[in-house]
Amino acid sequence: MGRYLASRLLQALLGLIFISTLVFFLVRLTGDPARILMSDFAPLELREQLAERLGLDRPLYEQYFSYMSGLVRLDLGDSFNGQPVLDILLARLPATASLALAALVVAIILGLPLGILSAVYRGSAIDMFSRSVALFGQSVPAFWLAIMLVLIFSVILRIFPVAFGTGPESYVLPSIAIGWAAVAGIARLVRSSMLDVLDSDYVRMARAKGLPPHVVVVKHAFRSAIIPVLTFSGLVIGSFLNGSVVVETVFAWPGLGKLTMDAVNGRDFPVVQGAVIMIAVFFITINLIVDLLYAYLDPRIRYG
Amino acid sequence: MSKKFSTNLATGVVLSLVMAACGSPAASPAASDGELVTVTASLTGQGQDPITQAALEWSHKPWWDDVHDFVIEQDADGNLVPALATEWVASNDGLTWTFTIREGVKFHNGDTLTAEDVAWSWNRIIFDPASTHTMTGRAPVVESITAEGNQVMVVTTSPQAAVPFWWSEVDGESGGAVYSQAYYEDVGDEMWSKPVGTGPYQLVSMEGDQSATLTAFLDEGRSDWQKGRTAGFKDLTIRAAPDSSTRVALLQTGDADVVPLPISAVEELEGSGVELIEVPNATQSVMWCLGFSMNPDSPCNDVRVREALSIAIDRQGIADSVFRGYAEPSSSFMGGAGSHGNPEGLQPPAYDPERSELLLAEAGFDSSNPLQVEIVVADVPGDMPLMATMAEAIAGNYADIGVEATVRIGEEQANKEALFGFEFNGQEPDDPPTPITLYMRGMDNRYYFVDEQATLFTDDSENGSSVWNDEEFPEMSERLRAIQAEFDFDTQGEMMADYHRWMAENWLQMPLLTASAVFGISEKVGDWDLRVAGKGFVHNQWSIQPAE
Repeated sequence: MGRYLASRLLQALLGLIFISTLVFFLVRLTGDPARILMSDFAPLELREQLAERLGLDRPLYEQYFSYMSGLVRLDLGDSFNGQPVLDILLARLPATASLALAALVVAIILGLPLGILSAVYRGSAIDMFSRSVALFGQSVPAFWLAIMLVLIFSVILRIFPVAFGTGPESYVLPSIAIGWAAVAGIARLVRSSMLDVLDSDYVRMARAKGLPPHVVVVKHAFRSAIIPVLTFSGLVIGSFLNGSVVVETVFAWPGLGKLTMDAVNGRDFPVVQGAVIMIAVFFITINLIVDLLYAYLDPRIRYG
Repeated sequence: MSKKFSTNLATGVVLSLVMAACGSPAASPAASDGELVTVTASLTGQGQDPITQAALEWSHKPWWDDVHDFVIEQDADGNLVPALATEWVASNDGLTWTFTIREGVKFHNGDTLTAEDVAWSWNRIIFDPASTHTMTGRAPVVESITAEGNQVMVVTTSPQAAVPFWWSEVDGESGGAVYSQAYYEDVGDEMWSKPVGTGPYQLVSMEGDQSATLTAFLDEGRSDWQKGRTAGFKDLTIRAAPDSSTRVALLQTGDADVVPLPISAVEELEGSGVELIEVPNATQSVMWCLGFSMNPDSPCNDVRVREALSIAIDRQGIADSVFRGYAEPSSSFMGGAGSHGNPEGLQPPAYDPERSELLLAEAGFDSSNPLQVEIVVADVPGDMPLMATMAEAIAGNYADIGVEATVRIGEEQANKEALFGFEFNGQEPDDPPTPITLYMRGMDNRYYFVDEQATLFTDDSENGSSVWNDEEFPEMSERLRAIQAEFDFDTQGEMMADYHRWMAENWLQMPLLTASAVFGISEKVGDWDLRVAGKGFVHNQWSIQPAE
């Protein structure tokens, strides 16, 4: 287990270094920040002074090592507006994290029953409905769903607010928009897991013993079928964090996604770098935790 | 219901402004107790020192401009009108501009505005080593900015007729706004988080980039001029909604009172009961050939090719289809109706594909030797909308006359960097003659263009920003410099109009369209002085009056 842990930690670290390096160079391919920050009218001398102040006159490798050593110290640098990037990101994190959590709740609350019912009543109208929901959820783009939700539930029915800022009810539509694809994923996963388990010997034994159907399903089948769902749920949180850019924009949600979009539009490179790295850290960390949990739950993996 | 904004709509408000500006005693309308909610696409700026930005971003301005005042403003016709300065005058040698600062104006914290505040604000933005503001570009010609009594003197190294425009609300962006030196010395950079201005609204709070809450500045100690600019609504909330469909929804649900609308949404809302205000000539667009004067082999050196490329564009068709009628063909760039220097009577280039084909054939381009062009374009928030779609439509027009056109949709800064880096085909003397690079530019419809045009069309190689060859075609620069050196405002306007006519006669630019800005308003909103048309965001919110 120790070797497995060390190996996964090393992989995570390498992943982070790779992403940080990629972001550093990609951002610099988009143009000269001094030219962008300063007006077209500014004299060349002033642009050079600004480049010097930002450290952009130094060789690229020096900038790179300075940037990487900053990352080690958790120093993501300053935004072009002078505020520390880490502070800006941390200020936005709660909004994104709470929305991701709400979306996960939506995904589980809707996805689990749909998957269970679909498996238990295989081939029935409920199964058809569940699979249609899954198909719809996985094929509909989140931004389109977000706009439709606003149109139906805000503009026509006037049930939920259009955008962020009016209380807990403002979570409903964006969390559905973000979580809907995961509803589909969870429903399909639960359905296939349940079908496997429902056909297993021990479930047949439970039925033969005369246990009531709901006890067989909930106590025996569901408990075994839930393990892959837990893994999947961990991964979807990561995808919620990086996949909410468009939905946050539609709902004017003050999270990391909208921040990233604004920073891209405003060419605030340090913030773009920081946001991408922070999202990558989340994703890699969640993947790492899931891998370790898997190894803990299934001994075959750690020796594999 | 739709209504088109005209100067008549806001005559009352403008009149009272002008009266107040001239020092006449103006009645002080009381602010309504109601709350006004306006929406903007993006909202930033709290905590940011204005000198650290190339220009005050359009996302700041929805709240910034109502909190701070400028020394000079521009009226609906583009004329300079007094604001914090009551008058400004140039010395006989044209080297010193003297601004007389209005007395008794109060900052929101009770401090009295002084000429020193003005000089301090302007010196910071031009000369502070930390400044990255557009105004730093003026530094080479500004010798000093000093205050004496209630006057501010701007001394330049050469005659500069445009100095008042530098500090005006529109051309100067945030450059002309005045901040309190004493307050800055007291609180330091905290000033930008808790700004204190002299404007009709004061900032109460800002929730990140989500919303700003403002309240009317109603202190009895205000000057009469400030009382004449009392906000129509006591409380103002500005909400940010980056997605246009969200903005429309906020209006439809009654969560907002004034909302800037994308042209694509306007058609849907017509007849829906939402009241629309159309502000014509809010944004404008132009296209020009980068090879002309810079590459001796460029087909654009042939006036027939320039004319052919311009008259092949079906401007009215694009206005009707792409812009759904919310745009119109323009006859000049930065010379729209009502603007200072507008070339009255100059017609937009007429659509004539047959003549275009004939001219190209005369110039040696036909089906056996088709002319190739690449249209470079970018969509920029806050500037002319639908630029990329318009470029595609123009490419279609060119295809109709046998010109092989491609469209290169880029990012604004990348395009600019390539432009000023001479990377587009035709910008260097040894570049191949084709494809011709046609550079499209859109911008808000400012009323003053000389410096902007001079940046593009004068030899400024030291700056690295020239896209023009003075030696090959000196008349452009000579005309622009002559306008910049003309101190009589009326004469200057005539020279600008002549410049536009000369540009049109020589087919030096291809003016495309001017587009309207459209706002949706709730039934709470009465009159609104939209002032200068060149603003697609909700602005001048203090002037919005409650509906009767």
